[in-house]
Amino acid sequence: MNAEPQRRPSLTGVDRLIHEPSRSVILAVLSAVQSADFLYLQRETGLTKGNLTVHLSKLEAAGFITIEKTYRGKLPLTLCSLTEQGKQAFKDYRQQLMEFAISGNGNQ
Amino acid sequence: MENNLKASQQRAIQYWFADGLVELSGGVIGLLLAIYFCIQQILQASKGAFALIFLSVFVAAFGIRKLMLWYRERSTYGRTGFVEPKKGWEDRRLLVAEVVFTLLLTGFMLYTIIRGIQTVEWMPAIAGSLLAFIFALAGYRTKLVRIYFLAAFCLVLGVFLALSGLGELWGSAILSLGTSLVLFAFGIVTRTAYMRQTKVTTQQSDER
Repeated sequence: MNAEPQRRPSLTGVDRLIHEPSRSVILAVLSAVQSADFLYLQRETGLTKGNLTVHLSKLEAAGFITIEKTYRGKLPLTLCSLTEQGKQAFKDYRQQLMEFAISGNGNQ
Repeated sequence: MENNLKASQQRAIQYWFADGLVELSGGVIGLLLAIYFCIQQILQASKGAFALIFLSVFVAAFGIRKLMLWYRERSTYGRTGFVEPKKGWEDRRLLVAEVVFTLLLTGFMLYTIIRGIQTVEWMPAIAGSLLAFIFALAGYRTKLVRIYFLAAFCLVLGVFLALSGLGELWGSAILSLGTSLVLFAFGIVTRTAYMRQTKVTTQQSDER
C-alpha cells in the first residue's frame, strides 16, 4: 500500500535574486510607486544602511532597479525605481508564488 | 510572505496621506472656498470682482499646495523618507472611472442647460458629488477608510444642503466649511499620530 508521494510544486524555479525577504519587499514597494528613497526603503525593510546598499546594488546589477542621486530642495535623495525588466521579473515571481500557494493548499 | 508584500505595497501607496499634511492643506483650501461663497452671498459686488476673488482663491490654493510640499520636504522626508506616488492615469480602471464621471457630469449639465432646467439650486449636490467622486477615487487607490468616509460625508451633506433650500451660495459655503472641518479633524489626528511615531533621521549625504 505504498501510495505514490504527492508531487508538491516547488519553489526551486523562482528567481533567487528576488526570493530573499528584503529584496522582495524592496521590489514590492517599488512596484507600487513611481520611486522611493533610501530612507523609506530602509524603514520598510528594517535593514542597516550597509545591508540595504548591498541589496540595492544586487538589484541594480541585475537590471531590476535604477538608482539615481538627486536633490529635493536642499535634501539629498537616493531615489530607486523599478525598471521594465524588474517589473516583469517581480510579476513572474508573484505569479509563481501564487501558483505554489494555490496548488499547495489544494494538495492538503 | 504574499501578505507581507501586499502590506508593504499598501503602505507605500498610503504614504502620501501618512503625515496628515494633505488633509490639513485641503482643509485650508476648503475654508478659503467657504469664505469666498460667503463673500459672494453677503456682498453685492460686480461679477468681475467675484471673478477676481475666485482667481485669488485659486492662486491661494495653488500656493497652499506648494507650501505643503515645501513643508513636507523639511518635516516628512527627513523622518520617514520620500516616496513618489504613481500617476493616477497609469491605473486604467481609475482612468476609465474618471472619464465616465466627467462625461456623465458634462452630459447632465448640458441636458439641464438645453432643457432650461434650473440647476443652480442643486449646485451643493453637484459640488458634493464631485468632491465625493474625487475622495472615492483617492479612497480606492489608498484603501483608507477615512477617505471613503469623507466621500460619503460630502455626498450626503451636498444632497442635504440642496434639499434644504438654503440656496446655492450658502449651500456651497456650508459644504466647503463642513468638508474643511472634517479634513482638519482627520489632518490633526493623523499629524499628531505621525509626529508621535516618528523621529527625525539625519539624512546621509551619501548612502552608497
